[in-house]
Amino acid sequence: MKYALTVIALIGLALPLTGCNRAQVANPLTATTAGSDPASQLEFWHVLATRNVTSNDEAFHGLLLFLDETDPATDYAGRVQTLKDRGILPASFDRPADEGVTRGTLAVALCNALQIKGGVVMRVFGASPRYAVRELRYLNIYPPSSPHQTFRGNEFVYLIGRAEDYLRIRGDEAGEVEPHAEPGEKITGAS
Amino acid sequence: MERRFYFFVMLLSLAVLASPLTAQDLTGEIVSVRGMVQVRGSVDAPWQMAQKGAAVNAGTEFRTGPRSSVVFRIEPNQVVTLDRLGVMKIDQAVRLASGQVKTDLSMPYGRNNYKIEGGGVEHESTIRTPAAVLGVRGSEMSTWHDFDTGSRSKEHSADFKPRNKNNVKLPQDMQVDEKSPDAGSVSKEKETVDTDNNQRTDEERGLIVNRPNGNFQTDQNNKGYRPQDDHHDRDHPISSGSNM
Repeated sequence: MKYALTVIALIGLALPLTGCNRAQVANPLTATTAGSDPASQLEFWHVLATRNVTSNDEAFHGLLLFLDETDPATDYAGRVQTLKDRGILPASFDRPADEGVTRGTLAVALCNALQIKGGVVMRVFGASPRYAVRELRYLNIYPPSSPHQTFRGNEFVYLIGRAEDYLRIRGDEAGEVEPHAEPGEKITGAS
Repeated sequence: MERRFYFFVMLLSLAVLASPLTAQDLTGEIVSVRGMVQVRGSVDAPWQMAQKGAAVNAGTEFRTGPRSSVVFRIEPNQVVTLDRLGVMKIDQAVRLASGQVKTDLSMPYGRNNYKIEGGGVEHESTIRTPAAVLGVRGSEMSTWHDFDTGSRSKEHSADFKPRNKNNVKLPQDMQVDEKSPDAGSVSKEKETVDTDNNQRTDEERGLIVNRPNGNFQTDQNNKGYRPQDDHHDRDHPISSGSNM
């Protein structure tokens, strides 16, 4: 009886540990399609849309392509350093390349890259994952999210499309089709 | 008698064989390209960068990158724009023997604008997304499929014919509030098709469409019924997607 209880207790202790494990991407897309030429970029975006998880490496490559239409870095360390140098990623960021990118990490990067200032807390303390996610939700760039969630590939592609819509509404970009404001939602270009 | 019967059967067979030939394939061309756009003639063909003036026809597929879009024209007067980060394929583009133009487009994700320039030709156009089949008759409509909102459309001046996944026509004023906690049940309720529709008065029809389960509500202004969703914004959420 005592033995059985010990086993159950051990299993009970082990379960939360497995739940906290972040998703890993075994074969990052950046290993095969990390080029900056138009054909490679299109291949990257549309193959990424078919994948189950977006890794940190893929997300940062995509973010650089979206911001600059080119990715000068050749590896993950170079991408992270480029983003840190530009103040897009916090200096303390140290997550591995193959780990699924969290919505909080990407929200901070997007807020910094798109110069979204946010509310009082963000203006005073800077962009944190929690408040950056809330700000992007308010701007209708993010869906209802937790900072700890990750993205499927198609969700990341969709998110980049929404970020472009935000720039169009703000007047920074031009587009062919009018970005959609959902009925009753606060779509705004001001932050 | 027997010879006449065989002759009739033969004529009928010829008519059946000849009927597909009366549908004429339509072609078109790429009108403009902005940013990074690739195109291919079929699912097995390699992707190539899209060029203005290139021919398109049934089977042609497009994909766009960020800050990119492609505009293509299908005979005689249909103009389709695929906006940023989207994929679209022309499944069918034919002119039927009756003169009607039939176009079938599929869009796994992205956003498009479909416009008919000029009139005089009857169109039957559908845009398929993973969540819905959107039937269009009219002059202009935008459709998009996102991963949290599902498929949505916004008509500019089109006569909009919503259909469900099985291509069955739905009531015109089907509308689902996606933020409602019971959006699923409301959607089901709204998709109810009243088979006795032609025998009802307008007021009865409104009651059935808005409350097909019989739980009608009366408002304070004595209008007889209160539609659950006003339908004047001409915005048509077709289905709810899964939350990301």
